[in-house]
Amino acid sequence: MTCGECRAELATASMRSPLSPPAAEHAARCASCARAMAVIETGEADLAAWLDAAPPAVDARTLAQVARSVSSRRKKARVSFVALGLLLLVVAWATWVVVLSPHVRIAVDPPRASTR
Amino acid sequence: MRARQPGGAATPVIPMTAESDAAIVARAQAGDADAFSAFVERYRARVFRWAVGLVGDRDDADDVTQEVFVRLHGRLHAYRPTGSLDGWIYTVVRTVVARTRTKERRRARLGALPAAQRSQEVYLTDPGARVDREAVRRLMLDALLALPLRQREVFDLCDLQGRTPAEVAELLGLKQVSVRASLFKARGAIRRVVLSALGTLAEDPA
Repeated sequence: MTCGECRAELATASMRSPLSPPAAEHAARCASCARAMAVIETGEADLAAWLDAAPPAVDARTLAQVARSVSSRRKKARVSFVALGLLLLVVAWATWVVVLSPHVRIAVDPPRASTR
Repeated sequence: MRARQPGGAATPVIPMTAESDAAIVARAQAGDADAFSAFVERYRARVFRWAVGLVGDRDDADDVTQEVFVRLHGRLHAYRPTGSLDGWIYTVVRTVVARTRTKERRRARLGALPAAQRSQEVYLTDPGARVDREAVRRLMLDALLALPLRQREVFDLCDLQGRTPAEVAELLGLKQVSVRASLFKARGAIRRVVLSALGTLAEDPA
């Protein structure tokens, strides 16, 4: 196996299971590929450890409390928004029926003046 | 080779005697505030770990975790115990992360400062030509964050958290073959960055 073939395998192989026997054999003989393998393996382990390291900053009780209050606030806001929307529709409809519609009717079909 | 616990080290160990997830969710659905707190206690670390893997920043992951539990509280009534609870929660995490990223991109387009460009070079810290592990870790994190969301989550769940492609496929609601394809692409993209940095390093006369 050449260094190029070994690097190609290193580029996509799982670091959680052993490399194929030819690649492992090559890496055992080639210092450059062995180093590349070690860097990738250590890098992924370090990245995983870094991601796993920190616990969430907020404790569970506070998080639950905030989640409950924000969620119920949003629910109220949603209900208010829908109610306001419905109210606006009703107002628009009433405005049309009471104010605008008679004028439109007059404009389209004007009352005939008496000729007598 | 490494052996990490599936789900990552941050995943809490739940004693066998503990109340089942389904029971806790059922009580929370019925409006029991203590049950919701227990639910948060149980899933907080897992949600945070998923979030930090997707956003790559602990402060942002805290915000995502907060938003996820707000949404879960609002949608708890919609959960049906027939599906995987992990999968359901993960979907919410993913949605929140995707929306956060969309907002960030929009903000960036509106003229905010461009994200700081980190160095793409691995440097040497000692005469023994040992690669700086911290630099490699940062390089890998940057490469991970540059991946499309699907590849990023598959790489994190499989290679960093130690789940099998079958478990990840179930969690994400995908076919195993799609998970494997995304994993293949993600590994290739991340390791190409590291290997090319190593190439530069190899020519370094240090």
